[in-house]
Amino acid sequence: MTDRNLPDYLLEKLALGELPEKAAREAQEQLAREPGGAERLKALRESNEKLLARHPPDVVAKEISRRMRSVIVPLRPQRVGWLAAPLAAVTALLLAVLLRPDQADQTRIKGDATLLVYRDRGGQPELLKSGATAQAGDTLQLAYARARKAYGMIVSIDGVGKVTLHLPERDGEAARLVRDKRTELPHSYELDAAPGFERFFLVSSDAPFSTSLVMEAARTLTARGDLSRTDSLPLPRGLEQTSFLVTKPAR
Amino acid sequence: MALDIEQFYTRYGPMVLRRCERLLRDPEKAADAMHDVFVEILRRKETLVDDAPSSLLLRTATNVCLNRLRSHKRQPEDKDDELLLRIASAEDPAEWVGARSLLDRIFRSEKASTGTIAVLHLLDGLTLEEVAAEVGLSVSGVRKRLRLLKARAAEVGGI
Repeated sequence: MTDRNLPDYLLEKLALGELPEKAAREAQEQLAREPGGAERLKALRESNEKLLARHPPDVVAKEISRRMRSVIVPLRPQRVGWLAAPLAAVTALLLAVLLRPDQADQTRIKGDATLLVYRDRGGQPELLKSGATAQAGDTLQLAYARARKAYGMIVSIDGVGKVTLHLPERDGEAARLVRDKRTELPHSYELDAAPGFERFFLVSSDAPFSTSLVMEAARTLTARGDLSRTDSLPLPRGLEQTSFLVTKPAR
Repeated sequence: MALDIEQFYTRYGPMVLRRCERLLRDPEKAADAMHDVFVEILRRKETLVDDAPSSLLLRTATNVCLNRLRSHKRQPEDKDDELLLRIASAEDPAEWVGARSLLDRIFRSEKASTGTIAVLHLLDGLTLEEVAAEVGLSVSGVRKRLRLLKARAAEVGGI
């Protein structure tokens, strides 16, 4: 037995009938002992009605569905090797020959958003600067800040030409960006042993766009060899990009 | 498991909204967080085998709100709020940096964050046994998490 008032947390579960039998019995007994205890359940039911009127189920369900379509939470980082898609690789080579920086419809290298890369230092986050050195096995946490565009994605390319999609998890539509505040990606990313560098790109736009467009551009860039450390992604007008370079020490 | 979003929200939405309003102290931010709670739950609906998911919803709501409090610092409105903000700040940096992958390495559990456990016990007033029943840990497991959080909190300002 206890003198405390029944915590709201348990009251909610009691009202839903989701407390185990013994706990429910004890909760009911506690409510009976409290001054105004009986009124608490009644007040909860009235609050339910008010809140559902303020936030109607059909409107909320629509918004929930929209948010689910916009962002897919990754279960693990997905690595897309450009060599794994022969057709895409041939296309990338063709594009690399046909497109030159002065011919491609270039976007601004510096977008309005900031790409942040943190390294885990034994449980403490270390904010890296672009150009910093990191090793294979280092765990990085990506984030973005000051996004003013509505849609975005984050990809990386490395020194052996691999392209990795970080946000969203799967190919499809670009993710819906959280505007004007720092937002971490849901999962961290472990650097592999590929030599040279890993370069991260945040691409954003006011309109929805397909991830495959940017993935192709990334594959095109990797075909430029050393220039992929510095050149921008060849993207169409309307897409902004910002990049962050992590270098890896020579073996 | 086929889930009717409207029905699911009608039953559990007000509870989630009250939870978010309590923690965020802002009706608009609470409504926004409430949507994200349902998105997070529905994304994992394949693992939603529990026919009494109120615990999962309340824990997820607590976690979503703690994440937002960590990102958006504000002035505490009262003692409870001050405690809540300290819990949010003191939560394991590894959770902040690396989300599930690092957290799993440390605690081998995805059931509840340390911050959520602290909120249940220190703010909501659940006993250690009630917290343990809620989050699926032993009482000693809950105590250990709270000790870890208090140790980290001592570094940033104390709980």
